[in-house]
Order: sequence, then C-alpha cells, then structure tokens
Amino acid sequence: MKYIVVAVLLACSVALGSAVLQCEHKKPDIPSDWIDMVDPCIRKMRGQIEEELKAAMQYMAMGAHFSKDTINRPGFAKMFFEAASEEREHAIKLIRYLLMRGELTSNVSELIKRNLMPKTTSWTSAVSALKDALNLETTVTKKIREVIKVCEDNPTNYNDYHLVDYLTGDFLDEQYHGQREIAGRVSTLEKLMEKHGALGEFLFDKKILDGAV
Amino acid sequence: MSVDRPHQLHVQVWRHRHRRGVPPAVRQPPLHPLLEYLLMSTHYANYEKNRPGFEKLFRGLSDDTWKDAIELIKYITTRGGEMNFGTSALGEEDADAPNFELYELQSIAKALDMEKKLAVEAIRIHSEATRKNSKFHDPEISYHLEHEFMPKQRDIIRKLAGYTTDLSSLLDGPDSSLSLFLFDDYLTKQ
Ligand SMILES: [Fe+2]
Repeated sequence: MKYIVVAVLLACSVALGSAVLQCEHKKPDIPSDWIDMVDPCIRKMRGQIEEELKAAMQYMAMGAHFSKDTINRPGFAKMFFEAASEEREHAIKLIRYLLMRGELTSNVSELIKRNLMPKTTSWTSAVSALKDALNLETTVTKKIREVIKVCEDNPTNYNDYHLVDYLTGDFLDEQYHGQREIAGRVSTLEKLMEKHGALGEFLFDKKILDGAV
Repeated sequence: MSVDRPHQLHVQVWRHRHRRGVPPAVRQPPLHPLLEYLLMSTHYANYEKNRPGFEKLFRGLSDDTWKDAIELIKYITTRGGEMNFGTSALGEEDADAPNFELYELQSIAKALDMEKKLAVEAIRIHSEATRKNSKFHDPEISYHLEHEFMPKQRDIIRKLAGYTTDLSSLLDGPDSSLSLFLFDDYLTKQ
C-alpha cells in the first residue's frame, strides 16, 4: 500500500539532473515583515486547536453512548454529534485564523500531538452527560481566556489586538451562550426527573430530537 | 503514514446479542484517519504553498471523513454494537513520524494510499462476514459494505488515481510550475 508514496518519492528525488518529474519548486521570496504574531501567542493558539479537537472527540463519544440500543436516547445522541462537529469547526476556524496571519507555514504535522481520545465513554444518565458537557465548555472557556491573556500581554510586549478581539467577540461569545444553554437544559431535565426519573429523561430526549427545547 | 496515532478513531467489536453462539470479535471498517486530511489541507492553505485547489480537495476529504465517522458510529449501534474509542485498526507498519507537508503529487499519492488501505480492510471484513462455514456469517454487514461503503470508496480511489496520472504527466513537462498552477486552479472548480 505504501508503494505509491515510495514510488513518487523516488520519482521526485531522482529528478534532479534528469528530465523526470519535477515536484519541488523554488521557494518564493516573500517579504516577511507583515507576519507579526509573536511566539508565546502562537504557541497558545496552536494548543487551543488541540483543545477544540479534544472537545470534538469527547462529544463524539457522548453521541456514540446515547446511540446505543441499551441507552436509546436519539435526541441526546443527535445533540452531542452536532456539538462534536461544531467543535471541529472551531478548530478549523482557529487554523484559518493562523493561516490568515501568515502562520502554519511549518510544523503543521506536529499540530496534533496529544492523545485526543475521550477519557470518558459512558454515562450513568443524560443529566450526568450534560453536566460533563457544561464542565467541558467551562474548561474550554478558561483556556480561551488564557490564550487571550498571553496574546494581549507577553514578555515581547506585543499586544495582538486583532486576535484578542476575534477571540473575545467571536469565541467567548459562543462559549457563554453555549454554557447558558447547557445549564438551562441541566436545570429543566433535573427538575423533570425529580419525581419522574425515567419518564423525564424519555420525554426530554424526544423534545431535543424535535428541536423543541 | 502513521497508523497507531491515538487521534485516529478505531475499530470496534461487534456485539451479536441477538444471535446464538459466542460473539466473534469482528473488525469494522476502520474510520478514515480523522484528522490527517485536515492537516494536509492546512498545509496547502498557508501563504507560501497557496494552493486553494489542493486545500479544497483535502478539506473536502476531511469533511467527508468526519461525516462518515459519525455515520459509522450510528451504523454500529444499529447492529447492537458500540464504538470502541480505544484500540487501533489501521495498519501496523510505518512507524515514521507522520508528515503531512508534502509536495502536490506526493500528497495525492498519500491520500490514495490511505483510501486503498481502507478498501483493503473493508474487503477483509467482507470476506469474514461471508465465510458461511465459520460461525460468523453476517449478510447484513456484507450488504452494508457492498452498498454503502464500497461504492463511495471506489469513486474516491478512482478520482485520486486519475489525479496522480494527470499530475505525473504534467510534472514531466517543461514548466511544471505552470502545470501545478493550472492543475490547482482546476481543483478549485471540482
Ligand atoms: Fe469550541
């Protein structure tokens, strides 16, 4: 299976003198002064990409859990699968931002270093999964605040106004709205389940499935 | 390409609760490497590479891979199974550090390798599922592979194989730089 890659590598590398394939081209000479992001901030941003992907995988595990026949909560499964895709989109947004600022010209292969596999893969109830989700978002919010802090004030004394504004206005905005929504769901579901445990969760699941709550 | 890296999603074991006998641990078609295409797409989107066509190609593969992963998890649960987020499925060879920053032709060749690998794994599962004399005969899995998985895989492989043919001949010309620009432009319109 690796033959194609190997064959291409060979074809490209022997191209030097002969008229075989020319894969490599001259590196363009582009002024680099416009690239003004500073190192501690870049590192934080790269780390945040991993955080978002980790959250995506955690939500995917939640979606998988509630899809099981022994759990059978299609509403929650749908909600968590959607959340997983949203987290992946957040990672892509951060990547796009760095690319726009002239970053990620190297070490892209090392962008994802940590184990992104979810730690928890089963939950005792929908309420406990929702609470985990709320805590997960709270952690992500804290991490974004840390990125903002470093990008605003760091040893190089470079305040990255534009990035800080983007993270504050765009990312934090979504975090706070998202957290409020999950907290509300925890509240409603927990109240529903006080007297009617199984029925409460069953009904709430169908409401989520219909997009009613 | 790296296979054992933890950020890939992996195989699962089927629970055959509704059938008699010991449930065989059958490996499911492994999910595509979930994030590798994303990194390949990222590489082509930096200002130095600046190849929007290649960026789009790999981003599309990444999006499809992600959706397929979710669909696969749902499929597994329709069979009473559950997703195993722990173990590894895709090949064991290739211990090198992963590299997603490749030249154009190489990156397409790599994608073609990854897709072929998936097809081979699916064929292996299919042969297990159709081995009627063993304890494990599962017409539904073979149906699913034949009708859902294989046609998509066939088309992706064919498309990428075609690209390698085109690029190989284009890069063999007098001005491969211009060829790449035009090929990239062509990819933006696909
Ligand atoms: Fe997020």
